Amino acid sequence: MSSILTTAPPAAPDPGNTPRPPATTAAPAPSRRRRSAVFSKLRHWSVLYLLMGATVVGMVVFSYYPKIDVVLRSFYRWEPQYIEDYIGWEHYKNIFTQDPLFWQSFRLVVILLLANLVKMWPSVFAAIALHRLRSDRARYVYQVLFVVPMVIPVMVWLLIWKSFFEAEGGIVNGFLNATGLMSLLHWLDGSPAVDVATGQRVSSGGMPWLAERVSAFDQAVLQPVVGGVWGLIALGGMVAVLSPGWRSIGRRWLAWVFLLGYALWAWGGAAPPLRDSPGAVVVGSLLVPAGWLWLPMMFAVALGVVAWLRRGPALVREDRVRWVGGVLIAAGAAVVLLGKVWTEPVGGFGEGQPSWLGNSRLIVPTLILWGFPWVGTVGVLLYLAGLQQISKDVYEAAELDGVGPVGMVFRIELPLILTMFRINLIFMTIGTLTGYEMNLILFGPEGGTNNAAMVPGLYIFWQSFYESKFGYACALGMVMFTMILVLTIIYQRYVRVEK
Amino acid sequence: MSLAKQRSRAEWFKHGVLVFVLGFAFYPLLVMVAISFKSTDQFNRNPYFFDAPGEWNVAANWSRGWETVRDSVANSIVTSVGAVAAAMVMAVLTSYVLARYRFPGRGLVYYGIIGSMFLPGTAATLVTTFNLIRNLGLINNLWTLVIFGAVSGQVAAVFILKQYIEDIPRELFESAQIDGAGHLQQVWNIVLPLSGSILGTLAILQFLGAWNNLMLPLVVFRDEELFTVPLRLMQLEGDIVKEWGPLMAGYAVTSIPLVLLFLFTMRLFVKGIASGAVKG
Repeated sequence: MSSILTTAPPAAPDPGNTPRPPATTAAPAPSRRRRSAVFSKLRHWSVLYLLMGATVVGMVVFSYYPKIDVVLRSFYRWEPQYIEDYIGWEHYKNIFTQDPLFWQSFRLVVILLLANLVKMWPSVFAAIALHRLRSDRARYVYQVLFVVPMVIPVMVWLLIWKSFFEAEGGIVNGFLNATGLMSLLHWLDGSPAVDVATGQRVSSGGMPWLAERVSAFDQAVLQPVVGGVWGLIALGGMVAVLSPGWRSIGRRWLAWVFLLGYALWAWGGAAPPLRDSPGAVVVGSLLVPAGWLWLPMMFAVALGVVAWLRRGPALVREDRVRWVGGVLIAAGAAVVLLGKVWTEPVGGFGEGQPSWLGNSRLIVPTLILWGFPWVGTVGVLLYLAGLQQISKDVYEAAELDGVGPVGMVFRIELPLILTMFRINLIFMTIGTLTGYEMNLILFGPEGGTNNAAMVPGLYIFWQSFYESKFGYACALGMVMFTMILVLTIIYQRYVRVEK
Repeated sequence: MSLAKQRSRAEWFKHGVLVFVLGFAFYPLLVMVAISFKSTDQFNRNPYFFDAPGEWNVAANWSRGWETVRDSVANSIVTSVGAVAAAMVMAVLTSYVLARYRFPGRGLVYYGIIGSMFLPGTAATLVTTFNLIRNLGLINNLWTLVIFGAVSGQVAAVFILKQYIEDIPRELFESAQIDGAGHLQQVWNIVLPLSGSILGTLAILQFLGAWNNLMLPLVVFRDEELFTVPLRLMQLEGDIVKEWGPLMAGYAVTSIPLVLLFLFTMRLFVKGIASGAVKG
């Protein structure tokens, strides 16, 4: 190929530079000249296409073709080497009606996504600490040190961390036992006991005890008033949307309507989201018994009136609205965390050897804790590159204005790396939703005990390469892809860079 | 006085944060090396810290570790180097054309390449990719990794390089053109020298990506002698009885090529990333 390129005539000059023949001699054959100009342009272009050929062909064949093929194959019953039938929308119907494991895996991925949103921040703070060092020399040394861990192959890193979490002889359990934190965990966990009178298992002490009290509160107070904790969160969201942070009225109403739909479902079905399939969600929200509706409708109307009034002179202090919304959401989150997560003793802490990777109730906490202190070394260096565009004057000016070191984080540094942060956010989201390699390595293709570590990606992998349902896997992939696309669009709209 | 004191306390705080973070990043590295020096007995007695230097089992563990991963390291080096080299050649040529010329279809090509960044491959893409590879007869073939490594490297590389080449003054290219330089000569004499550091950084990042690639080799390779490093490590991990000493020595051996790579390119890499050219 390179021989073709080198024997090709040297670049035809840019169209703009083509020497124009003097008008006097041009008279006899203008058409031929024009044709030769067209010809030389074509030749010029074809050389360019040739130079890009490898990339373009490669992208089309090895990147786009498989992706388009997923779309087509999702309509086929395709079990390799035996069956290949067109079946229309049947896979999609099955996904929405009879595949609870797929939707269960989405529950895990949502939890992981929320955890990763928190886990993004340590890198930012480490980069800020690095940026604020006074000595350039020290900073360079740290920069080099941050690169060094990259020499370990990712697989080795994973396997070593896996050995840290082993039940017997793992360093995590060793640390917890040595510091006495294990007995604290044991105390928090409580121990299962049996109620003599009823013969039922009751928890005695610690977090499960608290959870019982919290869910009692949930049932006694929240259920009748707002239809449960998810309704409380929805209400908080609706109030928060009314706050001035949402500038345009149209956008506010859109978010509000969305939240209203969600709230109707939460209040009506009183079911935690993602427990049932979205298909059921939509249907459920339409079939809400009318008796449930009056209270949320009252709220909705009242809030709608407030939102409408806010276009005129403000009746309510806007920042207070935001505070109320935030408090409601925080209270809802607290009820969920305290009342719905640690509801039963996990066990194993008493013997000092909880199996972090084996116990299905410890797998999710392990995945969340994984990689402490969550500083990605490349991420730090990239943020640092963004931070170094800040000139010293900005700091001095801020100091004169009396901005403290913490204030500077929010006033100067975060705004400057917001673009980078947003890019990272998008890629982190895509990565979390599609990723499954770590779960595969740590827990195997079926996602460990009780499929506790099953994420959608892993489920697709399992359906295809272990169950040989290629077509079904493609349909699952399409569902997932659609969700990612929606999330990316939402990010593009709402996580704006404001300068 | 008190201000200076406050300043130095703030300095110490920052150092404290960074050392804490780096401690966690380095600890797996230290554990790996420490265990690779241990016999099974020593591991059972004292798993996570170094023994006295006299009791190290370096030779025995490392030679066994080397034997277990040798072939896979060779496979990984060949495929990663091949993939990165091909990716760089293709990306430089494409970004040169996209940055310098207007022609019909330019937008389509550019956004076609960049857009695939936002069309993430899900696990389902692995299925159709596998099918494509099988139809092309590339199962169990090291070339597969080179081809896919090169293609998947295009997106980020073209995105960054195109911006970089656009910043090179036009006059440089024009004067070279007047001197009769063809496209390849312009790339060779102008683009490559001027974008050396960013090219190097990109190449290193892509090498890391190729070195760590797991899923494609996992579905493509059947024969053990073709296994790359991640596959081989996964296979070793699956053994029921583990001898941690030689195993960790094997892990360490698989890091050596990357150690060598960074030893020679560290300065360039830190500079390349710090220049802020690699975004996203």
